[in-house]
Amino acid sequence: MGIWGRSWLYLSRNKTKSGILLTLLIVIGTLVMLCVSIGNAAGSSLASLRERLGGYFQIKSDREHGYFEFVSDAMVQDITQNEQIKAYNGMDTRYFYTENLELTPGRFSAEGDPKAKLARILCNTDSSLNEYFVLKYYELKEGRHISPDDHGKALISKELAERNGLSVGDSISLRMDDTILNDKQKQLVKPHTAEIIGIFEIETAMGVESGNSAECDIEKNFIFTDTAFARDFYEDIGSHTGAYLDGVSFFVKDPKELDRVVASLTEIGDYNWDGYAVTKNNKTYEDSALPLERLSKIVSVMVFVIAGISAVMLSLILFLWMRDRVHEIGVYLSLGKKRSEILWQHMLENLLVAAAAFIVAWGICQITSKTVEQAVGTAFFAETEQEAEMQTEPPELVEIGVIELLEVAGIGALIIILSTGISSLLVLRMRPKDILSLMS
Amino acid sequence: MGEFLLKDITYYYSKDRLILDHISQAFESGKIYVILGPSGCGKTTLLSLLGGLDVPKEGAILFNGTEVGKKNLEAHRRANVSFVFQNYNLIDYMTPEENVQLTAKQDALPILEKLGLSPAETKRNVLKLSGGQQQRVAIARALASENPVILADEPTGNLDETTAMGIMDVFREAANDYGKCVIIVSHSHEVAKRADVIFELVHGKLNCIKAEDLKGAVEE
Repeated sequence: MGIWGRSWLYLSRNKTKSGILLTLLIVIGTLVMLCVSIGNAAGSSLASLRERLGGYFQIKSDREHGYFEFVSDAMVQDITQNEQIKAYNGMDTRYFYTENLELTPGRFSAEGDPKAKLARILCNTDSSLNEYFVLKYYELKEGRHISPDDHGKALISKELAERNGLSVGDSISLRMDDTILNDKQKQLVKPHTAEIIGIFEIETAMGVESGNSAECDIEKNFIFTDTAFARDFYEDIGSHTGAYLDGVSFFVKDPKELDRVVASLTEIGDYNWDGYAVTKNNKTYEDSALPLERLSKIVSVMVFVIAGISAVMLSLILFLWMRDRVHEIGVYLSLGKKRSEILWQHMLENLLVAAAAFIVAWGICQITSKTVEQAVGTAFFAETEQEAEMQTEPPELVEIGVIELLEVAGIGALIIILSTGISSLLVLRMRPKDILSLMS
Repeated sequence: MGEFLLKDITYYYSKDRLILDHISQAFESGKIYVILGPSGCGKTTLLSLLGGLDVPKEGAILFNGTEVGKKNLEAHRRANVSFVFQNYNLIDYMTPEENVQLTAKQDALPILEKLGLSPAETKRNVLKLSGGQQQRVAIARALASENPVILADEPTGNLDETTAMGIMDVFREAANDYGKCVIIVSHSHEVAKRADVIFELVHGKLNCIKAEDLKGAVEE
């Protein structure tokens, strides 16, 4: 009779012990499987969050220290060679007169000043990456964002659209403020038309407005356009600009890499880096990732604790049971069975029970995953109003598939091999003669 | 079986008191040997050495010319010797048939039936059998292994006289029909009288005695 036969006979003839072991391993398997599932879900949510929110850094001229080193198109090309850079947004701020728009009235309207028609134009290569939108102060309600290939496109606020009866597809006409131009340039100024491709809503106003605010400072009057459109005005007067006056925001794939990418900037090209101010921002990611990272850490600790307690409990139980098997071990040794063969038989018995237990545990996890998902959501997410505002949602429990089952089976098998090994070796390391003396 | 030989073996727990004192003895197949002696004289120790459960402090045990040493004790127990113990030492959650199958190189049922167990009894749990039946199962296990030597430690110690003699008949069959070398450690003179060769272990020495001299041998 071989090991398999002996193992099966032991399990089937010792139903109480097999039942206790099965129950214990089902409980351990279910707990570990749920922890692994929660851990995996948190991990994948973190990865998705990193990808979604990203971290970014902004480079612009360090005017505070008297520098005027603008970020050029060539510099942008050099920086985007870094494989961690996934997108960028070049920014300019201009002030143009609105030809066919009525702005929300401010100080200049009350004074009858023509500057009442002057609007702030926020030029972007990719408006979705502008901080107003990234930080969710503004939200695009209709249409689409300005993308790098656009030319002559604009986004306006919902209030401005309603005030002027405009919608997506309509056009607005803008003209350069010529008060600072010389006479020759003034002759060259002409209006340009931009198509409205999106309408945004102000969720949280960033500036403090009062009745005394200038029209161009009132956020409802802000107009987003593409940078190429703004450059057209300067082409008209013979001023060619290939730079972003308000700097450029570069978005990295993994916010955790932000510091490393920023540190490597000075190695790029022949630029006067002292003349630039570089600011990093991954606060959104850090704030949003906090509950997920907390969950991830707790789950890791739980897996270790459960595995540790399980190993100790199993070792104690198996050791107690092993005392009842001294007689059996002695018989096998007297029959010339190898110690390794006896050890393997004990492991096989427990591994067979474990295999059944983990399949049952897998079934239990499938049934209870929704309940656990809700419990996890309540425990770790939206605990405070502040956290509720973050862009983090409780992770959906990853379905426990073959990989998770194998992971748990691997952990379980390791615990069982260790526990069985320890308890069996305490007897098996004895001399056969001493075991037989114990028997009699 | 070729030669099963004790060559000048000595065993002790402390050097000032020898349990086995330079013993040399050969054992042949087809014979029953009984070793008599008082409790604690070293009979079981001698049987342990013969069975590869321990090794002598000095001297050598040779089986077919190969020394039974620390490296091949398991192989010796597996291929050369079979044990029969006073308390039977069967696996208690198995049936007689399954116990015999642990070592069987042949079908277990015919051997069990030949030793007097009914087909129904061979399928019962061993603990539901009488002492004599359990000992027959243990002997069946030894026979089924086809190992040439049977080492029996007080095999009739827990049995009444009639059952004990029945067991001795089985050993006789094992020696005569199966050609086994049967070495029995016992206190019983009745058992010894059924042997081909009788030894008395006294003060570490193995002395051969005749059946008619048994009155002088130690019996507790």
